[in-house]
Amino acid sequence: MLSEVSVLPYIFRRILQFIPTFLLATLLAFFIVQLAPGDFLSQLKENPSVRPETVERLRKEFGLDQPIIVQYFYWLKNFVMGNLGQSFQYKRPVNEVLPGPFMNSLILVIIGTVLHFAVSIPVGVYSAVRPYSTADKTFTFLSYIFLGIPSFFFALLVIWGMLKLQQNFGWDMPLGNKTSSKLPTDISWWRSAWDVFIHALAPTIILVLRGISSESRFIRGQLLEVLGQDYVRTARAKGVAENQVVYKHALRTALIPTIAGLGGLLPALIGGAGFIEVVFNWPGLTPLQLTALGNQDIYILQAVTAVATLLYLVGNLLSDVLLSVIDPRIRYH
Amino acid sequence: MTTIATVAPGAGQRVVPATGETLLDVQNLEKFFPIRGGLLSRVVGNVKAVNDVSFSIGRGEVVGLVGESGSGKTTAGRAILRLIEPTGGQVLFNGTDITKLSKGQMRDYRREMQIIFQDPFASLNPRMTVADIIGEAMQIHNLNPGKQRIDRIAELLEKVGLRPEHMRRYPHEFSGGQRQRIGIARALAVNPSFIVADEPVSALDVSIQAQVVNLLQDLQEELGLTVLFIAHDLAVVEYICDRIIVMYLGRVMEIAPSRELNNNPKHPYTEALLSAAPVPDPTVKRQRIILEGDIPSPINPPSGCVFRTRCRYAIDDCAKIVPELREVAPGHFKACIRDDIL
Amino acid sequence: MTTTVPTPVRKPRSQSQWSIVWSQFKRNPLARVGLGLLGLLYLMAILAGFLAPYGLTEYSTTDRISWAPPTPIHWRDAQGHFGPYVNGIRRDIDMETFRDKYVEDTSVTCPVKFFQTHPGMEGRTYRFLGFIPTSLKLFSVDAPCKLYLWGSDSYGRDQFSRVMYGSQISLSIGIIASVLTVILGLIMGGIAGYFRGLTDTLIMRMVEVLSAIPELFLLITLRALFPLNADPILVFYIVIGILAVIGWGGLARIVRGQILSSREQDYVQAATALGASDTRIIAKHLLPNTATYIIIFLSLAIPGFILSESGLSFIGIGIVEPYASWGSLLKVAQDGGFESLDARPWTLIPGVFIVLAVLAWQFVGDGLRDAFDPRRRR
Repeated sequence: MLSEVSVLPYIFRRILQFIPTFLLATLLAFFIVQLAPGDFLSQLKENPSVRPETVERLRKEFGLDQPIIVQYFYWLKNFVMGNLGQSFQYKRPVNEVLPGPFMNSLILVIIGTVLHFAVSIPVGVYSAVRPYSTADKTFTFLSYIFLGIPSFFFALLVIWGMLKLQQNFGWDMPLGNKTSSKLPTDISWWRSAWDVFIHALAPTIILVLRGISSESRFIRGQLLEVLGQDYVRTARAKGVAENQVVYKHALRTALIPTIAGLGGLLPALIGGAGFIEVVFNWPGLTPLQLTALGNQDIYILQAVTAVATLLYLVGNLLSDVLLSVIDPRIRYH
Repeated sequence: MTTIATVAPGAGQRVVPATGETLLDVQNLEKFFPIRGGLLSRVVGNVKAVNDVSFSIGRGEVVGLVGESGSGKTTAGRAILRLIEPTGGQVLFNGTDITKLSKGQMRDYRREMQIIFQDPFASLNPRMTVADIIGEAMQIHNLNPGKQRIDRIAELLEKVGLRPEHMRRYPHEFSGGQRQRIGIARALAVNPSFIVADEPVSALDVSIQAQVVNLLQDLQEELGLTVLFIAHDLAVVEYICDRIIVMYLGRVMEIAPSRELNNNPKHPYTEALLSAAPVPDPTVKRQRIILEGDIPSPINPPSGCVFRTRCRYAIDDCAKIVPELREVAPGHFKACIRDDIL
Repeated sequence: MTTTVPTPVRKPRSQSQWSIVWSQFKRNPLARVGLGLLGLLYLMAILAGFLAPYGLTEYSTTDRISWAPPTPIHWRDAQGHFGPYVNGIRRDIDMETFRDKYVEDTSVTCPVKFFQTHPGMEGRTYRFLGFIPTSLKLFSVDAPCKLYLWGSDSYGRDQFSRVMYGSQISLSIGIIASVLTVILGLIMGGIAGYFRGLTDTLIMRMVEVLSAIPELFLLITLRALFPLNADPILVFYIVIGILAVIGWGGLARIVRGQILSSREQDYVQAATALGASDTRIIAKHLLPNTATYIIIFLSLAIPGFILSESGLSFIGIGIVEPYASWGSLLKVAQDGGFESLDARPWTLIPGVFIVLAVLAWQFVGDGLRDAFDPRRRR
């Protein structure tokens, strides 16, 4: 887009910086999980349904009888190669157990990201263009509420509302879970996709409400500040049409931090979806993690935490890179 | 560069002559700030803020240190007090090299050397009352215990032109000029013999400047203070100082008694500075010397004489030789290889 | 000609920074609302034992009344007398769902009594302010009636009482965890900012690593450190500890930044020039300037911790039985399944309290932020 200084050295530097953070974070998580009561190896040995050959294989692969720090390096090596360990509960490799819930959480996150920008930008812009109007004050009021309500409580309220709607009006509400239990199994591809989408809608909306509230207020503030700048006044004085002033000139500048925040949105949503998944019985990462916690399934615990951390760091990296592309000053850092 | 002869009173209306005894002797003072860059934050260069600066100040003298922004005068002033640690050179106060002292040893010397800051708004802790601010000095050195302290604070406030009841107020309730007076009172609280005044009037309105400068002059006479007066305004410096040191890009260009510097500058830079100062007489026509070019970067100063890139008398040798500070008349030193100009 | 005696001019009292902030805060209507609401909520927590007609874990093993709806209170009895009373409860079968249903038994009436003590009922004895044992209740009814203002749970415990007692935990965890976080953050941030160098790098790296793990997953992981069925009181402290561990990083960064910028200020240099020791500079000049940020941080952290604790308890890894927090009470609504929400919507009430507490703190926090900001002077 812009200046001659390439953005590549900056990306390279950032990647270099985030590798140690990732290693340390996963090491920390590994340590904590290992310190949890219960010893994986002995549990395995005592479990009659686990074959001795499996125990032996796992012992070799993950160095289960070695000191913790060595075990970490075994785990790390396996992680990089795609082997995430064995789930104690499900008696299958974590690689098989993880993708399903991961994708499910991702569905919420992706729809959420789209919604986030699709709603907060128009709301923010409108509020900035007509500040202190009724609409603006309403949005501010609503923002306060949405920022104050815990997501899980709001989710319960929404479900209650949907139940009421279903009862009183006979509407078929997509209540909980990923799919309707009432649908026959041999339906067309897009019908089942639509079904999933409908089920994802309510949890996703609740998920992004908090983000939309703060983002739209933020955009409003940014745009107001930019519109108050001297160069905008100059454009107006020169007779540029108000629409052009707002949309062509001011908006681009005002939206810079928002766009840069795109990368950070991903991990925020993954973390935030947790409670909502629980309330809606949406089979995502958090219910998986919670049952793993209850059953001390340490490889799932470790894998989910590591994947979530990886996503977080990648998201931050993305956002820094985006910012450096848009704002050349960052590259010189 | 170790002795200073007695100097006649400068352009200012000073009556008290200098005693001839050296109080402060700065030798080859150096302050470099490292610049880090590259992937692993290695040191890739230095900002040479103060580079081989030497001068002395006699007891009771008022010496001015002038230069434009970036000349290193503020850094030098703070380095002398070890508020910034020098990276090289020595500072002899009353014969002792204070750069070698430990923190504990330094504390006693701190009573003797104080500083007045430029920014009246940042130099006073907004959360402390005036009494606290001035009293802190006494608290640290265990002076004037008990009721004596209040009396002493009142006395100091009156000395700087404020009223004793002001001691209960907070800094934000005072004007800029008044806050400078508070700063002066704080500096005087420990009875120092040497004060570094770091551009004390640059941030004040012109009408107030005169008041504060006069106050400083009166105090200096009354208490026999030795002052290093840092400024960028030659007019102010001329009025109050006996001698003037001119700095450029971290180095000393010229040192001379005030009147002599004004009437008979020997360094091209001083000549240019003087010609830029406005003279309040519309009939006087002067030949303005406009310096070409910008100030070079202190990271990469020009070789040889640092002023050569903007000097109208520069010759080839100026790029090869770093000029030494030479005495060309009694008490008059310049750092220039050419003797055939000015 | 009359000589006038000049009227003595009252010298305006010198305003310290704190009094300015307080008067600005008072002028903010939302902030006042928030403060008032907080006062009510914390008063409720202090008086929980007094306000709750039943004990925290009080239920009858012989005559268990599970999932009773809120007891209707009547004001005018058959004789026309005015005074609150309730009817007895009788179990019935719902003809549609074939499940138990509780209906009013109008043959039994019990007046609502105020300011009664209940000697001998250990479950109803509480310690006012932590050390005065009493069983004085604001209002209660005698057996065989039950006064379930907000219904009962599966054990037959009065939800209203549990919400009252729950406030003690929900509101105090926020404050205790915040204080811990502030202490940790101050120490770590202060050390990092003042001594710089390797210490600074180490500490900031620690903060970075901790914040790289998304909060919910870090919470779950930390909780895994301790046995899930640990002693409930221990769990209380574990939760506080976990919250503090994830929270100190933010404050440490702020404190460090503040110290790094403050130490370059002229007045700090002046103190150095005067000969002040490191301790003096840190204590008298650097730390007090972080006070503003600490106060603002506290007002944001407390509602954050209230939300986090509620969330943890809601998914079952926070406060456990027999103690109650608003989050764990809300769990009851979730556990019953969706249909139960329709059948027992009053189980959602604890959530309302969470919202009130968080909103109140947010108003106060915003009010404080504006009060400290000289650009927003009213």
